[in-house]
Amino acid sequence: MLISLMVAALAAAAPPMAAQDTTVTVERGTRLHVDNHRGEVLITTWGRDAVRVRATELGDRQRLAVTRSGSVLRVRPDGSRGPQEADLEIVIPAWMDVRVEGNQLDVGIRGGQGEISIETIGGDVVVQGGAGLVAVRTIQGEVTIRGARGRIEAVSVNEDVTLSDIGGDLYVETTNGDITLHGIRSTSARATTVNGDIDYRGTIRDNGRYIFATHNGDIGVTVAAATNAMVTVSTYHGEFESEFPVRLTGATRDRQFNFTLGSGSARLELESFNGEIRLRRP
Amino acid sequence: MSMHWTDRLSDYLDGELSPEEALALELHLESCAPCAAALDEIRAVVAAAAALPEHPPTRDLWPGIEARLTPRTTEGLTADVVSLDAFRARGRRVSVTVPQLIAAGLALVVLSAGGVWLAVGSDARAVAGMPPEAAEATAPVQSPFTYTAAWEEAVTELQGEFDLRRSELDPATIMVVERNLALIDEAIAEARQALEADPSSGFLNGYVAEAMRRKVDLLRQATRVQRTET
Repeated sequence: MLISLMVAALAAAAPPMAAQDTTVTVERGTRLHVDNHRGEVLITTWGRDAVRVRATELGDRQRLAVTRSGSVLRVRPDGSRGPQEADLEIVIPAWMDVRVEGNQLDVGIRGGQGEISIETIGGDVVVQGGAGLVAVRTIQGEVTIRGARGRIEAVSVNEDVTLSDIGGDLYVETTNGDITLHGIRSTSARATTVNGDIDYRGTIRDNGRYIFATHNGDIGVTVAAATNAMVTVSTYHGEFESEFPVRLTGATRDRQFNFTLGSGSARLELESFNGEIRLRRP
Repeated sequence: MSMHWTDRLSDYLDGELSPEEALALELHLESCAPCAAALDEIRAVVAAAAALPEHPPTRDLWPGIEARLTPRTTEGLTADVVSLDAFRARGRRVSVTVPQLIAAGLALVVLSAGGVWLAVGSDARAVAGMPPEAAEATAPVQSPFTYTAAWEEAVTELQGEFDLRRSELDPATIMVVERNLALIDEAIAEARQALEADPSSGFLNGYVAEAMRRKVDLLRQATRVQRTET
């Protein structure tokens, strides 16, 4: 009993481990997998074919583990006592694909030009850059993505999702949060929430398809004068408002109505059960 | 068949084994027909799945639930998705292990909502399995989901699993999940009430189904987290 108490006291009094810092060279095509239960992961890029990892705030008796397995470089705090816990600052080549997983984890990635995949339970996620597939999924975290290209999937449950300066297809979803989409150049975008507003400022391209839906919230969409789109507005208790005149092409039916802008080649579907739907000029 | 190697077959196909490990596995494959056959099976699944967005196979209730929902929700989707040349060309990496083969087969059939949208979002007709000329004459495009009892069953089963393992999840996360499930339930209740008043409304039917889909997704996500927490 006494020994147990002494061990516990020593463990409690143990000083935090010093920061650990390591750099490894990587071949083009290597992917980075980061696994950190709690803490922070910040990833930036440089011009070297190497990965530098600096770990601070390491959990009790944990060490930084950087291991290579085939084409994957794995980074994680490692230790036998408790879950992995650290703040990690990682510098990678811009071409590198990145996957980050964690529990309560703030994640920031800046300057990447590879694919990015992030999955957490809590903690905010900020991504600047990324190409190909950029996928972020969290339950309690706020998601912010800027300057990504390719296919963007941003899913939260209980927070806002904000995307800006995006080129590519979008799938955005939250349940209890607003969705803000600014500076979007996409031919395919779907954004849905249950309890929040949706604001879209971007292109409505010919032959594109755009769906914005909320249950308790407003929807605002900018529509340029030269837009060619068939627009469907669906609402149950909500209202529709447009800054410019529109002419209904069919009878109001099934709580939906349509109108065509220009040639009508794109599809724009707007749906709010209880909120307002507004179209405005850029 | 060596259990030591079966879990490494997918890593081998993905080039994730060290040269020494790869060599050892290749030597083993020369003398182990079951492992060689398993490798062929995985290779076939991966080849087909390479056309799809990454979607982790599940080892939970979901495959059974998914199988029941599939015919009603995304029938006809498989061929359309797999045939997308653009996605084939992207050569996505899909990692599959032997115990996940059964689930992987289903993963090829039904994708997450995000995966569906990103795969075929710019062409709604592909989702509905409609020829383009027919779709042109049909406006507006309704939700690809139809509200049926299968959604209720799926929710009941997933909710049961979530409740059973609630102690395995952080209380704060449980609170967040339950708060959001309640929000979705409110939306479903409102839409159902409207649907009862107007049973022939395609909009409202699709609306309820979409809300149920969202609830299923959230429960799936929560139960997946529960499993990783243990």
